[in-house]
Amino acid sequence: MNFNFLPNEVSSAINKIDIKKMREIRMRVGFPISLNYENVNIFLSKDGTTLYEGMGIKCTKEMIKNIINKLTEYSVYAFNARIKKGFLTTDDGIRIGLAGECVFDKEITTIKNITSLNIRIPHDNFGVSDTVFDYLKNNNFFYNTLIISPPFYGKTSMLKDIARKINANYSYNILIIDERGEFQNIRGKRIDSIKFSDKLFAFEYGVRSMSPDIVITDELSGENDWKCVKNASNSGVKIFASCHGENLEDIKKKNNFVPYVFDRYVVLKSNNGIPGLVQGIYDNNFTKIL
Amino acid sequence: MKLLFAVICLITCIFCGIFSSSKYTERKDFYLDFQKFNRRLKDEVSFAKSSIIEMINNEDAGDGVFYSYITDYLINNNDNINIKFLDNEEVKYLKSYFDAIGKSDRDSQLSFLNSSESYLEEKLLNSQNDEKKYKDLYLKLGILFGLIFFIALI
Repeated sequence: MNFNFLPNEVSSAINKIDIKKMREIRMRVGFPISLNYENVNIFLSKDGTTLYEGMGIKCTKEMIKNIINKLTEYSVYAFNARIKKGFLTTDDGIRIGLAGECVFDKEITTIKNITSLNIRIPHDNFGVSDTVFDYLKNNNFFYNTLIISPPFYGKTSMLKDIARKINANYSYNILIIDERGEFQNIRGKRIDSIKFSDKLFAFEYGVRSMSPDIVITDELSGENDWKCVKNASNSGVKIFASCHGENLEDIKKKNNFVPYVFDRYVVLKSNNGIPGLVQGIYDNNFTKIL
Repeated sequence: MKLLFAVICLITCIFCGIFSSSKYTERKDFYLDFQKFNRRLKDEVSFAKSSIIEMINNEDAGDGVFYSYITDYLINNNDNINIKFLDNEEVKYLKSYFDAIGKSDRDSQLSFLNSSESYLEEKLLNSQNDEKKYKDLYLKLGILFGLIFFIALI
């Protein structure tokens, strides 16, 4: 994984620790850089990690500025659409969340004076969907599936693994609608990818122009997301998607939730750092089948 | 022996003439690259939105002095610009240009690049005129002095 967008001091400290155990790096101007390392919050020090705040590498305004310059390849105009949505992504699929001053002119025009970064480290969790995969299909036909969990439980990892499995073992054309660039390393002979587009546009143009058999997309949230999933499903495309929620009740309570679009609901449970632990699989009548 | 020395003097003088005029050619080439870059950046900002790094790394991009300085300034954070054929004002402008590109949204970038366009056109025109004027002059002076030495020596 390439951390060359980070200042030398930070990237050389990160090289001293096991990246597989690291889930996120948080940088806040004026404070030591903190890590989520094996699900424990610790600080990044010159020698790797430390529990002592005073020994942590302090994040400066200059550091954040240089990181943004590198991530935007010195070209804010080219990345402003992503900045406005509050994130940037590297070629390795590392998602960097941004916090700063939002500038509005009727709608948001940019985020300036960025003071905090949340760098989420993606992991290739091969086989994370092994326990659920057979429940998501009937012979060779897949069910519309929604994966539900709070952040960090492995929704994206599971979607990635499902994409890899279908690509390797079936002859379906898969379209990945990758709004945040988190599926960058998922490529394959049957995989097409639309990156950095909102779902409304990507579903409409992707389904029409690429004629996929299966669409995989992450994090359904607003009304439009649910609408376009429903429309795609009505046109015969199978959908694999994810959504934030603690359990099925959370999803049912969502204003925009459209019932009977999904045939399978996979709810993930708290995992202490292990992605994709399944709490239950439910059918379209919300009856537990696993 | 005398003849050989005279020929060497003649060739040296011509070479000096060419060498003295080379800075005008380099200056013209520099502003040509600068203007091309500005125009390409305008196209990129308004259409495909490729980043400056992509533009610099594109194989169609030039490999002249301008490109080596922009790479050094933006990527290697080296703000020491020392170009013999640019005066202080021009170096100051170049630095402010490098500082401004890529730092804002599409509309602000376009208005900045449009304002740079007229400056660059004027600079390019002047450098082309200077090249035409001085290149011939220095070459002729080189030949003239060479011949004077040549005749004097033989």
